[in-house]
Amino acid sequence: MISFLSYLGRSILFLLIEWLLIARLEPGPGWAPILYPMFFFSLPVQFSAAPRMLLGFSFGLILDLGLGTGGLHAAATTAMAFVQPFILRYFLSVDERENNLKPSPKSLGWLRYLWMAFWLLLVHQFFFQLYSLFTLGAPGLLLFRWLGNTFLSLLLIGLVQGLFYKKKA
Amino acid sequence: MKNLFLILRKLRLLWVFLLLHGISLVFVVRHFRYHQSVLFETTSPLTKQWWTWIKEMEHFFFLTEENELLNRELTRLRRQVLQQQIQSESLCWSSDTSLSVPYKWLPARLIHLTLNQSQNRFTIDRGSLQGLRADMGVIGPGGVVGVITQVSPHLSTGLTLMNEGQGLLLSVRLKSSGEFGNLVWDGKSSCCARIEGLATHVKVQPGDTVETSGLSSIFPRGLPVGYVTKKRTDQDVEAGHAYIRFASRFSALDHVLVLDYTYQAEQDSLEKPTAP
Repeated sequence: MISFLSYLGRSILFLLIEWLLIARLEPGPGWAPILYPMFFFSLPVQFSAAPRMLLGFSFGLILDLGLGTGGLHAAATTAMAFVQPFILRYFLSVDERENNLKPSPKSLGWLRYLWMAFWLLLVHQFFFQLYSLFTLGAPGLLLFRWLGNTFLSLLLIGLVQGLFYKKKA
Repeated sequence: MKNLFLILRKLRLLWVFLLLHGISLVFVVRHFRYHQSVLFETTSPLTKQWWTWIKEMEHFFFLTEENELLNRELTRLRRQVLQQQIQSESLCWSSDTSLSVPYKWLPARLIHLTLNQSQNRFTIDRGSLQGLRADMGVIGPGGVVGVITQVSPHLSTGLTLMNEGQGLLLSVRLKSSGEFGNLVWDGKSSCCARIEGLATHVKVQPGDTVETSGLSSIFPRGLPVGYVTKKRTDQDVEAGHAYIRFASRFSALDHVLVLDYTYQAEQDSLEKPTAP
Protein backbone atom coordinates (compact mmCIF):
# COMPACT_ATOMS: atom_id res chain seq x y z
CA MET A 1 0.00 0.00 0.00
CA ILE A 2 2.78 2.37 1.00
CA SER A 3 4.66 1.45 -2.12
CA PHE A 4 1.56 2.10 -4.25
CA LEU A 5 1.02 5.52 -2.63
CA SER A 6 4.68 6.31 -3.12
CA TYR A 7 4.46 5.50 -6.86
CA LEU A 8 1.22 7.47 -7.14
CA GLY A 9 2.81 10.46 -5.49
CA ARG A 10 5.86 10.26 -7.73
CA SER A 11 3.74 9.97 -10.85
CA ILE A 12 1.74 13.07 -9.84
CA LEU A 13 4.99 14.87 -9.15
CA PHE A 14 6.37 13.98 -12.58
CA LEU A 15 3.14 15.06 -14.23
CA LEU A 16 3.27 18.42 -12.48
CA ILE A 17 6.94 18.91 -13.39
CA GLU A 18 6.15 18.10 -17.03
CA TRP A 19 3.12 20.42 -17.14
CA LEU A 20 4.51 23.32 -15.19
CA LEU A 21 8.20 23.23 -15.97
CA ILE A 22 9.48 21.07 -18.78
CA ALA A 23 6.68 21.97 -21.22
CA ARG A 24 7.57 25.63 -20.77
CA LEU A 25 11.24 25.17 -21.61
CA GLU A 26 10.69 25.36 -25.39
CA PRO A 27 14.34 25.33 -26.53
CA GLY A 28 13.16 25.71 -30.15
CA PRO A 29 10.55 24.52 -32.65
CA GLY A 30 10.44 20.72 -32.67
CA TRP A 31 12.54 20.44 -29.54
CA ALA A 32 10.73 18.90 -26.60
CA PRO A 33 12.92 17.23 -23.99
CA ILE A 34 11.09 15.03 -21.52
CA LEU A 35 11.80 13.96 -17.99
CA TYR A 36 8.92 11.67 -17.05
CA PRO A 37 10.42 8.47 -18.59
CA MET A 38 12.65 8.54 -15.52
CA PHE A 39 9.62 7.48 -13.50
CA PHE A 40 9.18 4.41 -15.73
CA PHE A 41 12.90 3.57 -15.60
CA SER A 42 12.67 3.37 -11.82
CA LEU A 43 9.82 0.85 -11.74
CA PRO A 44 10.81 -2.53 -10.24
CA VAL A 45 12.05 -5.09 -12.76
CA GLN A 46 9.33 -7.60 -11.88
CA PHE A 47 6.56 -5.09 -12.50
CA SER A 48 4.45 -7.03 -15.06
CA ALA A 49 4.50 -5.98 -18.67
CA ALA A 50 0.75 -5.51 -19.17
CA PRO A 51 0.22 -3.24 -16.09
CA ARG A 52 3.38 -1.38 -17.13
CA MET A 53 1.83 -0.67 -20.52
CA LEU A 54 -1.49 0.33 -18.95
CA LEU A 55 0.34 2.64 -16.59
CA GLY A 56 2.31 4.12 -19.48
CA PHE A 57 -0.83 4.61 -21.52
CA SER A 58 -2.81 6.30 -18.73
CA PHE A 59 0.16 8.43 -17.63
CA GLY A 60 0.74 9.54 -21.22
CA LEU A 61 -2.94 10.26 -21.76
CA ILE A 62 -3.21 12.41 -18.63
CA LEU A 63 -0.09 14.27 -19.74
CA ASP A 64 -1.61 14.74 -23.20
CA LEU A 65 -4.78 16.17 -21.67
CA GLY A 66 -2.74 18.76 -19.81
CA LEU A 67 -0.44 19.62 -22.71
CA GLY A 68 -3.03 19.42 -25.51
CA THR A 69 -1.02 16.90 -27.49
CA GLY A 70 -3.85 14.51 -28.38
CA GLY A 71 -2.38 11.10 -27.65
CA LEU A 72 1.26 11.60 -28.65
CA HIS A 73 2.68 10.92 -25.19
CA ALA A 74 0.27 8.04 -24.61
CA ALA A 75 1.36 6.31 -27.85
CA ALA A 76 5.06 6.87 -27.23
CA THR A 77 4.96 5.86 -23.55
CA THR A 78 2.94 2.72 -24.34
CA ALA A 79 5.57 1.74 -26.92
CA MET A 80 8.37 2.40 -24.45
CA ALA A 81 6.61 0.35 -21.75
CA PHE A 82 6.15 -2.49 -24.24
CA VAL A 83 9.87 -2.78 -25.05
CA GLN A 84 11.10 -2.04 -21.52
CA PRO A 85 11.00 -5.68 -20.24
CA PHE A 86 13.05 -6.82 -23.25
CA ILE A 87 15.64 -4.09 -22.74
CA LEU A 88 15.80 -4.79 -19.00
CA ARG A 89 16.35 -8.47 -19.73
CA TYR A 90 19.29 -7.48 -21.89
CA PHE A 91 20.85 -5.06 -19.37
CA LEU A 92 20.24 -6.88 -16.10
CA SER A 93 21.68 -10.15 -14.86
CA VAL A 94 19.47 -13.00 -13.67
CA ASP A 95 20.31 -12.19 -10.04
CA GLU A 96 19.38 -8.55 -10.48
CA ARG A 97 16.09 -9.52 -12.06
CA GLU A 98 15.29 -12.07 -9.34
CA ASN A 99 16.06 -9.47 -6.64
CA ASN A 100 13.43 -7.18 -8.22
CA LEU A 101 15.94 -4.41 -8.75
CA LYS A 102 14.79 -0.82 -9.20
CA PRO A 103 17.02 0.59 -11.95
CA SER A 104 18.86 3.75 -10.92
CA PRO A 105 22.42 5.13 -11.39
CA LYS A 106 23.13 3.85 -7.92
CA SER A 107 21.93 0.29 -8.50
CA LEU A 108 23.14 -0.10 -12.09
CA GLY A 109 26.01 2.33 -12.30
CA TRP A 110 25.95 5.48 -14.41
CA LEU A 111 27.01 3.89 -17.67
CA ARG A 112 24.56 1.03 -17.62
CA TYR A 113 21.76 3.30 -16.45
CA LEU A 114 22.31 5.89 -19.18
CA TRP A 115 22.76 3.20 -21.80
CA MET A 116 19.44 1.61 -20.80
CA ALA A 117 17.77 5.05 -20.68
CA PHE A 118 19.16 5.85 -24.12
CA TRP A 119 17.52 2.82 -25.77
CA LEU A 120 14.20 3.40 -24.05
CA LEU A 121 14.22 7.08 -24.94
CA LEU A 122 15.11 6.15 -28.50
CA VAL A 123 11.93 4.07 -28.73
CA HIS A 124 9.84 6.74 -27.01
CA GLN A 125 11.12 9.56 -29.19
CA PHE A 126 10.82 7.56 -32.38
CA PHE A 127 7.06 7.14 -31.96
CA PHE A 128 6.63 10.63 -30.52
CA GLN A 129 8.38 12.35 -33.42
CA LEU A 130 6.89 10.04 -36.04
CA TYR A 131 3.34 10.78 -34.91
CA SER A 132 4.14 14.48 -34.43
CA LEU A 133 5.37 14.89 -37.99
CA PHE A 134 2.91 12.27 -39.26
CA THR A 135 4.73 11.89 -42.54
CA LEU A 136 7.42 9.71 -44.03
CA GLY A 137 8.15 12.37 -46.61
CA ALA A 138 10.78 14.11 -44.44
CA PRO A 139 13.08 11.34 -43.19
CA GLY A 140 15.93 13.78 -42.53
CA LEU A 141 13.83 15.96 -40.25
CA LEU A 142 12.43 12.90 -38.51
CA LEU A 143 15.93 11.51 -37.89
CA PHE A 144 17.20 14.88 -36.68
CA ARG A 145 14.34 15.44 -34.25
CA TRP A 146 14.35 11.83 -33.13
CA LEU A 147 18.05 11.68 -32.23
CA GLY A 148 18.20 15.32 -31.07
CA ASN A 149 15.33 14.96 -28.64
CA THR A 150 16.61 11.59 -27.45
CA PHE A 151 19.97 13.10 -26.49
CA LEU A 152 18.38 16.21 -25.02
CA SER A 153 16.04 14.13 -22.84
CA LEU A 154 18.90 11.85 -21.86
CA LEU A 155 20.91 14.91 -20.83
CA LEU A 156 18.00 16.25 -18.80
CA ILE A 157 17.46 12.91 -17.04
CA GLY A 158 21.19 12.60 -16.36
CA LEU A 159 21.27 16.10 -14.89
CA VAL A 160 18.28 15.49 -12.61
CA GLN A 161 19.66 12.13 -11.50
CA GLY A 162 23.05 13.76 -10.86
CA LEU A 163 21.54 16.65 -8.91
CA PHE A 164 19.20 14.72 -6.63
CA TYR A 165 20.14 11.09 -6.30
CA LYS A 166 23.81 11.67 -5.95
CA LYS A 167 23.30 13.77 -2.85
CA LYS A 168 20.92 11.18 -1.45
CA ALA A 169 23.55 8.51 -1.89
CA MET B 1 -7.44 -24.62 -33.19
CA LYS B 2 -5.86 -25.29 -29.82
CA ASN B 3 -2.49 -24.25 -31.22
CA LEU B 4 -4.00 -21.06 -32.56
CA PHE B 5 -5.34 -20.18 -29.12
CA LEU B 6 -1.93 -20.95 -27.65
CA ILE B 7 -0.23 -18.63 -30.14
CA LEU B 8 -2.78 -15.90 -29.48
CA ARG B 9 -2.26 -16.31 -25.73
CA LYS B 10 1.46 -16.20 -26.14
CA LEU B 11 1.16 -12.92 -28.03
CA ARG B 12 -1.25 -11.36 -25.53
CA LEU B 13 1.22 -8.61 -24.64
CA LEU B 14 1.45 -7.66 -28.28
CA TRP B 15 -2.37 -7.43 -28.51
CA VAL B 16 -2.49 -5.21 -25.41
CA PHE B 17 0.23 -3.01 -26.89
CA LEU B 18 -1.49 -2.78 -30.29
CA LEU B 19 -4.80 -1.96 -28.63
CA LEU B 20 -3.41 0.81 -26.40
CA HIS B 21 -1.23 2.16 -29.19
CA GLY B 22 -4.20 2.14 -31.55
CA ILE B 23 -6.36 4.05 -29.06
CA SER B 24 -3.58 6.61 -28.64
CA LEU B 25 -3.32 7.03 -32.39
CA VAL B 26 -7.05 7.59 -32.64
CA PHE B 27 -6.73 10.35 -30.02
CA VAL B 28 -3.84 11.89 -31.97
CA VAL B 29 -5.73 11.89 -35.26
CA ARG B 30 -8.90 13.23 -33.66
CA HIS B 31 -6.97 16.00 -31.93
CA PHE B 32 -4.89 17.43 -34.81
CA ARG B 33 -6.49 18.73 -38.01
CA TYR B 34 -3.23 18.27 -39.89
CA HIS B 35 -3.22 14.57 -38.99
CA GLN B 36 -6.82 14.26 -40.10
CA SER B 37 -6.12 15.81 -43.49
CA VAL B 38 -3.00 13.65 -44.01
CA LEU B 39 -4.94 10.56 -43.08
CA PHE B 40 -7.80 11.56 -45.36
CA GLU B 41 -5.45 12.21 -48.29
CA THR B 42 -3.68 8.90 -47.76
CA THR B 43 -6.73 6.78 -47.27
CA SER B 44 -9.20 8.44 -49.66
CA PRO B 45 -8.20 6.29 -52.70
CA LEU B 46 -8.53 3.19 -50.53
CA THR B 47 -11.82 4.40 -49.08
CA LYS B 48 -13.09 5.15 -52.57
CA GLN B 49 -12.11 1.67 -53.74
CA TRP B 50 -13.70 0.12 -50.68
CA TRP B 51 -17.01 1.95 -51.20
CA THR B 52 -16.95 1.06 -54.89
CA TRP B 53 -16.70 -2.62 -53.92
CA ILE B 54 -19.48 -2.24 -51.38
CA LYS B 55 -21.69 -0.49 -53.95
CA GLU B 56 -20.98 -3.17 -56.55
CA MET B 57 -21.87 -5.87 -54.05
CA GLU B 58 -25.05 -4.03 -53.10
CA HIS B 59 -25.95 -3.71 -56.78
CA PHE B 60 -25.34 -7.41 -57.28
CA PHE B 61 -27.56 -8.40 -54.39
CA PHE B 62 -30.34 -6.03 -55.43
CA LEU B 63 -30.31 -7.08 -59.08
CA THR B 64 -33.49 -9.12 -58.64
CA GLU B 65 -35.32 -6.11 -57.29
CA GLU B 66 -33.95 -3.93 -60.07
CA ASN B 67 -35.00 -6.50 -62.64
CA GLU B 68 -38.52 -6.43 -61.24
CA LEU B 69 -38.58 -2.64 -61.49
CA LEU B 70 -37.21 -2.71 -65.04
CA ASN B 71 -39.76 -5.29 -66.02
CA ARG B 72 -42.57 -3.16 -64.64
CA GLU B 73 -41.17 -0.17 -66.49
CA LEU B 74 -40.91 -2.25 -69.67
CA THR B 75 -44.54 -3.29 -69.29
CA ARG B 76 -45.60 0.33 -68.96
CA LEU B 77 -43.56 1.44 -71.95
CA ARG B 78 -44.78 -1.44 -74.12
CA ARG B 79 -48.32 -0.54 -73.28
CA GLN B 80 -47.62 3.07 -74.21
CA VAL B 81 -46.00 2.07 -77.52
CA LEU B 82 -48.88 -0.22 -78.33
CA GLN B 83 -51.39 2.48 -77.51
CA GLN B 84 -49.64 4.90 -79.86
CA GLN B 85 -49.38 2.25 -82.54
CA ILE B 86 -53.09 1.48 -82.31
CA GLN B 87 -54.01 5.12 -82.31
CA SER B 88 -51.79 5.88 -85.29
CA GLU B 89 -53.19 2.98 -87.27
CA SER B 90 -56.73 4.00 -86.25
CA LEU B 91 -57.45 0.47 -85.19
CA CYS B 92 -59.54 1.60 -82.31
CA TRP B 93 -62.48 3.81 -83.08
CA SER B 94 -64.00 3.73 -79.68
CA SER B 95 -64.32 7.04 -77.89
CA ASP B 96 -64.22 5.19 -74.60
CA THR B 97 -60.65 5.71 -73.39
CA SER B 98 -60.78 2.66 -71.13
CA LEU B 99 -61.15 0.54 -74.26
CA SER B 100 -58.63 2.42 -76.35
CA VAL B 101 -55.95 -0.25 -75.71
CA PRO B 102 -57.41 -3.70 -76.27
CA TYR B 103 -54.27 -5.36 -74.89
CA LYS B 104 -52.94 -5.78 -71.38
CA TRP B 105 -49.44 -6.88 -70.45
CA LEU B 106 -48.91 -8.96 -67.35
CA PRO B 107 -45.35 -9.40 -66.09
CA ALA B 108 -44.29 -12.98 -65.26
CA ARG B 109 -41.15 -14.91 -64.58
CA LEU B 110 -39.96 -17.98 -66.41
CA ILE B 111 -39.46 -20.91 -64.08
CA HIS B 112 -38.88 -23.71 -66.59
CA LEU B 113 -37.83 -23.86 -70.22
CA THR B 114 -36.71 -26.64 -72.53
CA LEU B 115 -34.40 -25.96 -75.45
CA ASN B 116 -33.46 -29.35 -76.86
CA GLN B 117 -36.81 -31.03 -77.46
CA SER B 118 -38.75 -31.25 -80.68
CA GLN B 119 -41.57 -29.41 -78.92
CA ASN B 120 -40.02 -26.98 -76.50
CA ARG B 121 -42.13 -25.75 -73.63
CA PHE B 122 -41.95 -23.07 -70.97
CA THR B 123 -43.55 -22.60 -67.56
CA ILE B 124 -44.21 -19.23 -65.94
CA ASP B 125 -45.06 -18.26 -62.37
CA ARG B 126 -48.52 -16.82 -63.09
CA GLY B 127 -51.76 -18.78 -63.45
CA SER B 128 -55.51 -18.50 -63.69
CA LEU B 129 -55.68 -16.68 -60.36
CA GLN B 130 -53.81 -13.82 -61.99
CA GLY B 131 -56.17 -13.88 -64.98
CA LEU B 132 -54.12 -16.04 -67.34
CA ARG B 133 -55.78 -18.47 -69.75
CA ALA B 134 -54.82 -20.61 -72.72
CA ASP B 135 -53.97 -18.94 -76.06
CA MET B 136 -52.35 -15.90 -74.55
CA GLY B 137 -49.16 -14.70 -76.19
CA VAL B 138 -45.88 -14.46 -74.29
CA ILE B 139 -43.06 -12.12 -75.21
CA GLY B 140 -39.60 -11.56 -73.77
CA PRO B 141 -37.18 -8.63 -73.84
CA GLY B 142 -36.22 -9.39 -77.47
CA GLY B 143 -39.52 -10.39 -78.98
CA VAL B 144 -42.08 -13.18 -79.20
CA VAL B 145 -41.46 -16.22 -76.98
CA GLY B 146 -44.51 -18.44 -77.42
CA VAL B 147 -48.14 -19.09 -76.52
CA ILE B 148 -49.73 -20.36 -73.31
CA THR B 149 -51.43 -23.71 -73.75
CA GLN B 150 -52.38 -24.75 -70.21
CA VAL B 151 -53.00 -22.93 -66.98
CA SER B 152 -53.28 -23.98 -63.36
CA PRO B 153 -54.26 -21.61 -60.52
CA HIS B 154 -50.66 -20.49 -59.92
CA LEU B 155 -48.68 -21.55 -62.98
CA SER B 156 -48.99 -21.61 -66.74
CA THR B 157 -47.20 -23.58 -69.39
CA GLY B 158 -46.98 -23.17 -73.12
CA LEU B 159 -45.16 -23.79 -76.38
CA THR B 160 -42.21 -21.71 -77.48
CA LEU B 161 -41.52 -20.75 -81.08
CA MET B 162 -39.06 -23.66 -81.16
CA ASN B 163 -41.70 -26.15 -82.17
CA GLU B 164 -41.60 -28.78 -84.83
CA GLY B 165 -44.81 -29.76 -86.56
CA GLN B 166 -48.19 -28.12 -86.05
CA GLY B 167 -47.90 -27.31 -82.34
CA LEU B 168 -47.69 -23.59 -82.89
CA LEU B 169 -48.15 -21.99 -86.28
CA LEU B 170 -47.28 -18.32 -86.15
CA SER B 171 -48.23 -15.95 -88.91
CA VAL B 172 -45.47 -13.41 -89.54
CA ARG B 173 -44.69 -10.66 -91.99
CA LEU B 174 -41.63 -8.91 -93.30
CA LYS B 175 -41.50 -5.43 -91.89
CA SER B 176 -39.86 -3.97 -95.03
CA SER B 177 -42.36 -5.24 -97.58
CA GLY B 178 -45.33 -6.27 -95.45
CA GLU B 179 -45.39 -9.72 -97.06
CA PHE B 180 -46.89 -12.53 -94.97
CA GLY B 181 -45.53 -15.96 -94.26
CA ASN B 182 -45.56 -18.68 -91.63
CA LEU B 183 -42.87 -19.41 -89.11
CA VAL B 184 -41.51 -22.96 -89.17
CA TRP B 185 -38.87 -24.39 -86.85
CA ASP B 186 -36.94 -27.35 -88.22
CA GLY B 187 -35.64 -28.50 -84.84
CA LYS B 188 -31.99 -28.01 -85.75
CA SER B 189 -30.98 -24.94 -83.80
CA SER B 190 -32.28 -23.02 -80.81
CA CYS B 191 -31.47 -19.72 -82.48
CA CYS B 192 -32.84 -20.02 -85.98
CA ALA B 193 -36.01 -20.81 -87.91
CA ARG B 194 -37.49 -20.51 -91.40
CA ILE B 195 -40.31 -18.52 -92.95
CA GLU B 196 -42.42 -20.38 -95.45
CA GLY B 197 -45.00 -19.25 -97.93
CA LEU B 198 -43.31 -16.09 -99.15
CA ALA B 199 -44.18 -15.02 -102.67
CA THR B 200 -41.40 -15.49 -105.22
CA HIS B 201 -41.23 -11.81 -106.12
CA VAL B 202 -40.56 -10.72 -102.53
CA LYS B 203 -37.13 -9.26 -101.99
CA VAL B 204 -35.54 -10.30 -98.73
CA GLN B 205 -32.36 -8.74 -97.42
CA PRO B 206 -30.21 -10.04 -94.53
CA GLY B 207 -31.09 -8.04 -91.42
CA ASP B 208 -34.73 -7.48 -92.40
CA THR B 209 -37.06 -7.59 -89.41
CA VAL B 210 -39.69 -10.28 -89.23
CA GLU B 211 -42.63 -9.39 -86.99
CA THR B 212 -46.03 -10.69 -85.99
CA SER B 213 -48.62 -10.16 -88.69
CA GLY B 214 -51.53 -9.38 -86.38
CA LEU B 215 -53.68 -11.91 -88.24
CA SER B 216 -54.56 -13.79 -85.07
CA SER B 217 -56.17 -12.94 -81.79
CA ILE B 218 -52.99 -13.87 -79.90
CA PHE B 219 -50.41 -11.26 -80.93
CA PRO B 220 -50.95 -7.74 -82.19
CA ARG B 221 -49.16 -6.61 -85.32
CA GLY B 222 -45.53 -5.52 -85.14
CA LEU B 223 -43.95 -7.55 -82.34
CA PRO B 224 -40.44 -8.66 -83.36
CA VAL B 225 -40.07 -12.36 -84.11
CA GLY B 226 -36.65 -12.46 -85.73
CA TYR B 227 -34.20 -11.09 -88.28
CA VAL B 228 -33.32 -12.46 -91.69
CA THR B 229 -29.91 -14.08 -91.50
CA LYS B 230 -28.90 -14.73 -95.12
CA LYS B 231 -29.65 -13.94 -98.70
CA ARG B 232 -32.07 -16.32 -100.34
CA THR B 233 -30.77 -18.75 -102.95
CA ASP B 234 -32.75 -19.42 -106.12
CA GLN B 235 -33.91 -22.63 -104.50
CA ASP B 236 -35.19 -20.72 -101.48
CA VAL B 237 -36.96 -18.20 -103.69
CA GLU B 238 -38.59 -21.05 -105.57
CA ALA B 239 -39.71 -22.67 -102.33
CA GLY B 240 -40.78 -19.36 -100.76
CA HIS B 241 -38.36 -19.73 -97.85
CA ALA B 242 -36.31 -17.24 -95.85
CA TYR B 243 -34.08 -17.98 -92.89
CA ILE B 244 -34.24 -16.00 -89.70
CA ARG B 245 -32.62 -15.74 -86.29
CA PHE B 246 -35.07 -15.46 -83.38
CA ALA B 247 -35.36 -12.01 -81.81
CA SER B 248 -35.64 -13.69 -78.39
CA ARG B 249 -32.56 -15.23 -76.83
CA PHE B 250 -34.28 -18.28 -75.37
CA SER B 251 -31.25 -19.47 -73.43
CA ALA B 252 -31.11 -16.17 -71.48
CA LEU B 253 -34.81 -15.66 -70.80
CA ASP B 254 -35.94 -14.73 -67.32
CA HIS B 255 -38.68 -12.09 -67.19
CA VAL B 256 -41.49 -12.25 -69.73
CA LEU B 257 -44.74 -10.47 -70.43
CA VAL B 258 -48.06 -12.20 -71.04
CA LEU B 259 -50.31 -10.53 -73.57
CA ASP B 260 -54.00 -10.39 -72.82
CA TYR B 261 -56.18 -9.38 -75.77
CA THR B 262 -59.41 -7.98 -74.40
CA TYR B 263 -61.54 -8.99 -77.35
CA GLN B 264 -60.01 -12.44 -77.83
CA ALA B 265 -63.17 -14.37 -76.84
CA GLU B 266 -65.32 -12.08 -78.96
CA GLN B 267 -63.05 -12.49 -81.98
CA ASP B 268 -62.80 -16.24 -81.57
CA SER B 269 -66.57 -16.70 -81.33
CA LEU B 270 -67.09 -14.46 -84.33
CA GLU B 271 -64.55 -16.33 -86.44
CA LYS B 272 -65.88 -19.73 -85.38
CA PRO B 273 -67.33 -21.52 -88.41
CA THR B 274 -71.13 -21.68 -88.16
CA ALA B 275 -73.19 -24.68 -89.31
CA PRO B 276 -74.82 -24.07 -92.73
